[in-house]
Amino acid sequence: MSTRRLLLRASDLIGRPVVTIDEGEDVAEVKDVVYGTADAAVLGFTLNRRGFLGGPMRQVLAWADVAAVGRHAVMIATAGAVTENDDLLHDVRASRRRNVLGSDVISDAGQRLGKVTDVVVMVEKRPEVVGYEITGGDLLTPRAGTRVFVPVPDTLAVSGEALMVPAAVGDFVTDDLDGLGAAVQRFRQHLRTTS
Amino acid sequence: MEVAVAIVVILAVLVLVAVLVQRRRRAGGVISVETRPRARERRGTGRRT
Repeated sequence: MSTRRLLLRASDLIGRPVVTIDEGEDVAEVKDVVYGTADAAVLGFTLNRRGFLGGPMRQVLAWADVAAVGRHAVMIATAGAVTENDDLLHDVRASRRRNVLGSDVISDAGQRLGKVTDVVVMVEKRPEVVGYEITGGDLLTPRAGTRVFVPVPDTLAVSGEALMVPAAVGDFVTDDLDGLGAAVQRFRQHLRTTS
Repeated sequence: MEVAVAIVVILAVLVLVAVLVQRRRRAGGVISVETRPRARERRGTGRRT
């Protein structure tokens, strides 16, 4: 897996074909991006069969088995990487397929920041959720109604149907994806110094 | 004539429903799962078939 630092929207990965390096075979396409709340790590993908009539697959793709994420495809070494990974399957079933897109983001002070339109993933040594793209609520005036990026701590909190973030995040909201990387570092440093 | 029109309409509705159902089945998202940090160490070691 490449160690180049890259910020991307999780939804950009949805629908990308999964292609083997050894034979160039198009074995599946990404259905869901799955991440864990404990350390914000991207765990892998659920998959669809290729083609319009292809439905969801029982097999999944763990991130550890991803060779590279390219602009047009997710690359794996061999078709054997698409597997019935017990850990990942268990986590997905236990989650009751909780899709965070459309969920509210609420601060730990009880204020609603907005609604999630996407999840931002940083691909470095390990893939990690570093922020949410949200449609800003009234609290973020003058950014209310616009899409902004909110950095998240390295441990994510979920409460019912809402995603929780520290109230201090309001000072680290950015308007563009490129600025989110620096905002995440400053936000997490702020949390470490104030805790 | 009316029967033929009815059949065509019914077929069109069935095709539309099938397309919508298939789109819904294939629709993806971003799923959060509750994990413990220790559990993550075992990721990627799943059984290969």
